[in-house]
Amino acid sequence: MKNNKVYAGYIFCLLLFFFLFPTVVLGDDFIGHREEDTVMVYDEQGNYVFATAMGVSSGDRYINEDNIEFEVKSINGKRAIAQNKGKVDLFQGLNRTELTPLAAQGKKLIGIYFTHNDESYRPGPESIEGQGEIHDIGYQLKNALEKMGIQVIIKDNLHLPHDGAAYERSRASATDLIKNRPDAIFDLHRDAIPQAHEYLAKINGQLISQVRLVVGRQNPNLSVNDNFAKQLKAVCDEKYPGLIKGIFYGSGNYNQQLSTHSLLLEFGTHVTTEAQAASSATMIADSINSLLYGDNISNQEGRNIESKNAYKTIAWIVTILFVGILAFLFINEGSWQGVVNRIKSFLGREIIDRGEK
Amino acid sequence: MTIGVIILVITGLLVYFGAAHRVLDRLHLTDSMALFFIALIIIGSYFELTIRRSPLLTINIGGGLIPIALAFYVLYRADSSKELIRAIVAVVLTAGAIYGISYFFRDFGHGRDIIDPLYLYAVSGGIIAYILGRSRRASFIAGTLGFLLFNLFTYYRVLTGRIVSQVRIGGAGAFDSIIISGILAVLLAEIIGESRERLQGGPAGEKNRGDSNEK
Repeated sequence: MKNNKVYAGYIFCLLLFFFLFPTVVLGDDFIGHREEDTVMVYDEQGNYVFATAMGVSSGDRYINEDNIEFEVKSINGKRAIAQNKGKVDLFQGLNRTELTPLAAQGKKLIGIYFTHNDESYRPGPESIEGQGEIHDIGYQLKNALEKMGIQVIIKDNLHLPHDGAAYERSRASATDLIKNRPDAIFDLHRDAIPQAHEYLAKINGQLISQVRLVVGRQNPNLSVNDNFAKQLKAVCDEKYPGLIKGIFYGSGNYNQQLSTHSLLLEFGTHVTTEAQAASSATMIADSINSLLYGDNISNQEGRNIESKNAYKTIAWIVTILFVGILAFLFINEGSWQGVVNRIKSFLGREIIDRGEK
Repeated sequence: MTIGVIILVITGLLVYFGAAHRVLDRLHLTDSMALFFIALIIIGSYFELTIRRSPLLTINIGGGLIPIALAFYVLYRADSSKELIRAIVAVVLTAGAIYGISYFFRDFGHGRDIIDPLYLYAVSGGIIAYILGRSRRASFIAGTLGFLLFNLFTYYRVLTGRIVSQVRIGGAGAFDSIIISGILAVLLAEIIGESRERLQGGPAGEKNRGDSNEK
């Protein structure tokens, strides 16, 4: 009885803490959209590399517009230092005709969804409770792709609030799309840095907002999606130089574990306009079409690179699993002889069931 | 899809469902029952029940209904009222932890990207359940029902007009956080439990520790 009262006390205190503490103590301010929230990244010589409203963490990588790769080494408040790792060959020794098409036998189907539905552009509110203007960009991309004979499924489901569980909620939308076996899925966003010039570029005489590709580092499909991102940038660089701002490799998985052709696209930032983002959507649609379905006769090389990256990942998964199981068995058995006996017993009969449940 | 990518996808699925099988095997289920439940989860992932249309509230059969039913079954099979109370407390604490983490990471994607919160939800469920119940079963219950409670709290916020959203319980099917959280929580409890027992030179001898001695 006394214990029950203690437990009731625990529950009450916890409810009070979690449901009142965040809003009262932390406040409701959204990080981003403000000058002071922008993280500025410099190289070791103090040269400016890039700015982002996405918090950077040590180990994050970035490939800039000119294909120079940087790795974040240290962070001091809103200033990060990154190591220049030299120029990256996006083509990996191939020419573009050998890269495409990645989905030659595909269904000509692409999926689009929006984890942060509320994202919008100025003038007007930068966040709209419900479907923000980022949804319009999704439809712009859809229309452009459909004009090229590609079928597009858009998931308009809401995943608000814009909090740490948004990607958890949007996984349902990503999974819905995966069920249709699309050739690629894209999660559309916009950045939140308040410097419009960071994202503005002139392409074919038109002022557009650049697109940043984001790849999640915490998922097993990293190497394959990385390959996809690099190849997309390579095609864009050739067709629309300056369209892709860069590739950011952030901490997180961004639901990219669900598909091997899955990318997060950031269309400009909240201080660039919807029209500028719509223009870049049309251009990237053309590049996606070229990359996935090809506008030339190609050989198998590009697809071979994708396979090679996949095999590397498989080797990692199997190694980690093997080491993990061995370590667990060693902890469990206390000696290597015990591990050997356990494996022998496992191989000798079906899955362990020692009847101790 | 290239051959390499197809093999990669198959490898990932085998590892994931292999882990799921090991976890279900710990929950008063036989090997074949565990396999049957995995099949139900996979098939059920394609079906979603609409509970309410506006604001939208749905539950996915494979990602929501089956793991939740399983968690209630494990709860029902609790060995003692103490274990039952511990599990319920773990559920509430886990839901609170998930809410706290989701709030702390409210800028995730445009802010504090240290680790994907997805992993933290499961880890918090596993740690909380282990501390309270020292039990793999309590960990599964905390991981799954903790997420359910968090989803229901989100829907409450929608109903009361605090946020505009939709709630799809278990919407990602076999890959929903309800299942991932349950699986990781049990694996975590297993690793912590085994390590702890090894470090202290054998199984803990305390009574009424749920299933602390199960392997």
